[in-house]
Amino acid sequence: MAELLPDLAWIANPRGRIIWGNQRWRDYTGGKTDTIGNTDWSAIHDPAMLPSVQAMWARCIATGEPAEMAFPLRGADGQFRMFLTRTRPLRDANGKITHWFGINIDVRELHAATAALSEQKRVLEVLNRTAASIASELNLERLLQMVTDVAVEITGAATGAFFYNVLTDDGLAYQLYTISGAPRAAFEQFPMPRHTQVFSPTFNGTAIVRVDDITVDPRYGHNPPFHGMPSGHLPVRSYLAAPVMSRSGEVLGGLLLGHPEPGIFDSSHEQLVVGITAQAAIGIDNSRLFDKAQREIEDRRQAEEDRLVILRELNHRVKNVFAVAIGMITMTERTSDTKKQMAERLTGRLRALASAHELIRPKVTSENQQLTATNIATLIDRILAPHVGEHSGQVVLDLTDATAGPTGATGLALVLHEVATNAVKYGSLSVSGGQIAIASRIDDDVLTLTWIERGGPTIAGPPQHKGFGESLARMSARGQLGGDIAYVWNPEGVEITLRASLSRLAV
Amino acid sequence: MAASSSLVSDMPAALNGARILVVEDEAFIALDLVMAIEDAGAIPVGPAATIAEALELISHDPPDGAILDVNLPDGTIGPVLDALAAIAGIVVHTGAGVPPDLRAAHPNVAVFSKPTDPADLLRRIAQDMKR
Repeated sequence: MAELLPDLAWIANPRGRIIWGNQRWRDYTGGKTDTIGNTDWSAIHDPAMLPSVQAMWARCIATGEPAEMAFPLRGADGQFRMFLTRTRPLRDANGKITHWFGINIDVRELHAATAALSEQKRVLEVLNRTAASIASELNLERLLQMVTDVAVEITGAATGAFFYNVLTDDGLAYQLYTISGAPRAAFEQFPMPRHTQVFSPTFNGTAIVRVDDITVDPRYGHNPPFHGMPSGHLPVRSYLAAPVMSRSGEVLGGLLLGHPEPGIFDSSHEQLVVGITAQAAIGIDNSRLFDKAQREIEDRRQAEEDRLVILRELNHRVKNVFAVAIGMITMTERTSDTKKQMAERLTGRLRALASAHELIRPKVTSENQQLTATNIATLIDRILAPHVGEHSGQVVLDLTDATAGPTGATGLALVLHEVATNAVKYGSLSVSGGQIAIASRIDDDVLTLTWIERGGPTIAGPPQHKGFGESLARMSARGQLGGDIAYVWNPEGVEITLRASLSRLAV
Repeated sequence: MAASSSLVSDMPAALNGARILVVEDEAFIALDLVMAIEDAGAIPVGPAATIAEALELISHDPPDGAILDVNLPDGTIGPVLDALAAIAGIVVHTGAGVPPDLRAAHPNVAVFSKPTDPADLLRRIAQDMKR
């Protein structure tokens, strides 16, 4: 019977000495007769296990109790294999032990399966832990580091890197990356991976790439400048890389794993990497959504702040406008002879002030919630419009444009209004044949505006008294516009040169 | 036409012949203040439209009083306040308010929000004048 057993079987005497072995026993141990009856077990035992095997056997002999133990046995080929060994005593009618029967069951596969199970359990635990962490991590950099570390841990890779796609104007670039198993400095001397034949399936999102030995792969080494591994690169032969895809199908990045020895990664590692990259994708999507929400909140907060700034600014401007208007009223009253004249002058001045404000009203509906600048061409056009009216053919414009801010525009508007009023009352707009040539040029920070009248009533010389309009224009030019204004009273018409600082105008 | 809102007879006698500096870059406001100073029997100095111009005027002709805008094209009024604090009755006349650092440096200076009747500004100057 024992001879036919598929397992190794043997019989020992009551003192524990093996006196018979079956065919499998003889085959496995190499048929060496000296294993039977030999008390030196070191030939077939793992030296590390031998003391506990001997102790177990001594206990059996002493107590007569059966026993069971797993330990490796050396075969004829010199390899150790795991066996489950069971022993039981055979007794005579009086209960006295006559022999010991032993059996060694080959449990290599069982053992391997158990080891695989515990490895799988470990991997699952790691994945489980990762899933929870990834789900709660909103910081992209930390998230990617975690994913990279986990991938390295469960695949047994020597190094891992995660390249996160950042879109740039010149196409895809992989700017953000995390590394595991190697110092960052080991990567920093190399350019980001490009769409080489090796990397392309990963970064196009088309496939997982698993290569037992990258250095002999036909796809490898086709691209300049390195034609293979850059010198000084981390030694990598086993290579496993997987794309990380968003729910939307967008390729978010790639997870690259490497090992200096060939043939490290198998299909189970590939499966694991698929699982990890799926979790990474969810994490990245979440992190992006979170960032987007944060940005949205920040944008709204900023918009609210901008609105308050605008409101404060408007409040100041309104106060200022009232102050200017009051000044206008009292000044116009002082320099007018009749109510009608006062009303006319005041209306004209207020209209000029209103035009300047009209042009620089805040754009509260647009994204840029600032008081907007206007350009001086528009301003000149708007200020002259009520004066020119039917004389529009009499004005020739040749303008180099510049921008004017709220204060600058008001100052310029008031100066132009006074000058235009004078032209209508006494100058070339007071007759039908008169002409005004208005030109502007810019030299560095200075805007020079020339106003040349021709064809009006002949001028005898400078006016006896400087008019209020002129002193007002001088003050505005000197103060708000940071420049000056000069009048030349030619017989054929006045020639006015206004110089203004561009930086003052822009305020 | 009728005279301005402020009448000489309403104004403190201290203003008679006092020299009052105007620092203001808005021409209409500045000219209105100058006229009001004349109406009160005082002598206008300026108007200065910039800090630089104001400091120049002060160095040649220290005034007894001053009406000062805060934001001028070449900066805020601080240097002018520093130059006048010990010698003149000052009112600050502003649309935008006084920056906290200026307020801290000159806690006793009267501040009036634009627009304020020039007569009220001048009455306050008369109170605070140093002589």
